[in-house]
Amino acid sequence: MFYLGMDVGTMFVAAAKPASGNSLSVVKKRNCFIIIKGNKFNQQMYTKNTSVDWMPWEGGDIALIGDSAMGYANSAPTALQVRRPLKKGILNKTEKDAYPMLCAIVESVAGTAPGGGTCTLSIPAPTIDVEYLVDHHRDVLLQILGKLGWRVQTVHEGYCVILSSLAESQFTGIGISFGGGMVNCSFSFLAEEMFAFSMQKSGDWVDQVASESSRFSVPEITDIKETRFSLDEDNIGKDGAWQIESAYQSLIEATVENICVAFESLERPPRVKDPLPVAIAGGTSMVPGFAKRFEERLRASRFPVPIGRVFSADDPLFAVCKGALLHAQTAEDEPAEVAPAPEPQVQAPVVPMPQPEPVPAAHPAVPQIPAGFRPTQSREDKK
Amino acid sequence: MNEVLQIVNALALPAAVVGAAMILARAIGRGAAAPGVYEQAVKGGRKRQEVKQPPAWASPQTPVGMAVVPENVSHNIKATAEHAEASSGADVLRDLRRGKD
Repeated sequence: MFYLGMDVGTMFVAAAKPASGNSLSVVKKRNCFIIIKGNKFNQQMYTKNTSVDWMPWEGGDIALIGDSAMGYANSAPTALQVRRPLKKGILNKTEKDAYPMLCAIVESVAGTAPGGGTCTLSIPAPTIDVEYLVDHHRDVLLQILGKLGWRVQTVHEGYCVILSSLAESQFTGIGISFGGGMVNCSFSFLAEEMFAFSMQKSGDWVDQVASESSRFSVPEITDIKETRFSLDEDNIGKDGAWQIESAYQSLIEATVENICVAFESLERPPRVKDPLPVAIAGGTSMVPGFAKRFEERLRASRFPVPIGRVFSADDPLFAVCKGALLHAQTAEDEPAEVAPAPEPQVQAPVVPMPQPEPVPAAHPAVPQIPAGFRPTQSREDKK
Repeated sequence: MNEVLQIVNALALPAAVVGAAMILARAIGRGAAAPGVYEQAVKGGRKRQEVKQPPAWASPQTPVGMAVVPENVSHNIKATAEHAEASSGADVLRDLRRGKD
């Protein structure tokens, strides 16, 4: 029997598979592409050069994928930007080639399961910003992986962080994934997900906001952030770094505020004997000093339950797919989810929109919960 | 080029400025000639090349999310595996989930 844990993110597509002994085999591919003019010379060159990821494209053009696309864009004499199948954590609706590219990238990372295999796919939780935004994204991925032979179940990204990092507390605590496009947060009590939500602001949002408030372009801000930025240092007065720090501070405050609101919306606060641990993962959280800054802000907040250890996952980029793999290995008897069949016409599917659940009244002292916020989204609800 | 030299001679500019002006003039001249040559080379190459038809699902005209999922994706994308330590607690998780059922 084959098992697979899958994480399809804005920046990376990552997968974990069991290997020998107590080790895993993890694979990641940068989730981007670029289409260049093809000619006899570069087609021959790429055919011979096995280190380049590419595929033939319409009209003899060539689609470069992942790091090969990034490398080409960075070394090209003209300004080029890579294109992304995902934006803000979900399928990029403004990218016309998103779907076929995602098919190819997911296949290269997940592989096929010809004899049948169990896959757990991490998906974004319901967004605070817009409700039901992730449904189509989930259906597309279910269909892609299903065609590859995988029997797929879905769990929320934040819950995957809990599965990979909070075994010591019997999977009780908070897991947060700070990805490129989204922040995903889940709270679990003895491996039962009590609530989950996502926000469409994370790494890309930090870059955008910092760029708008500084003289640097978004790629320049990204470069500063990834190569020489630290939240441990005093960034005041440093052009670029100061703006990045302000954006990070806003991101942390928004996340903490929404966790507090989510806990306050529970019928009653969880009665846990030990303080709740908080595990943090995702590329955006890999900035030095991030976990410490987040912990300071969370402890200073009105969070209603004692907080235990706040820490970065051992492997922040792979924590989600490792947790998803653990779910797949322990969930064999649960039914697989099946994506709805595609419509025969080339038209947007007409799906009746379910009515939003009534939002619980917020405490007068706390901000109003956004209209689309559904704090409780357990697996039972989805069945 | 001669016009540039006449202008700088008439203005009696210093040697450094004259040098810079000549470099600039050469650069402008080179830039003007390049696009035509490049376009011809590209067109020639595209005529001679063997055109491969991409799979139907790869058509850029297909709306996002509405294409037929490819049966056999033809690509040259490699995925290099790394080793990582497995997450602990599989037995505990299995028991907890069994208890819920």
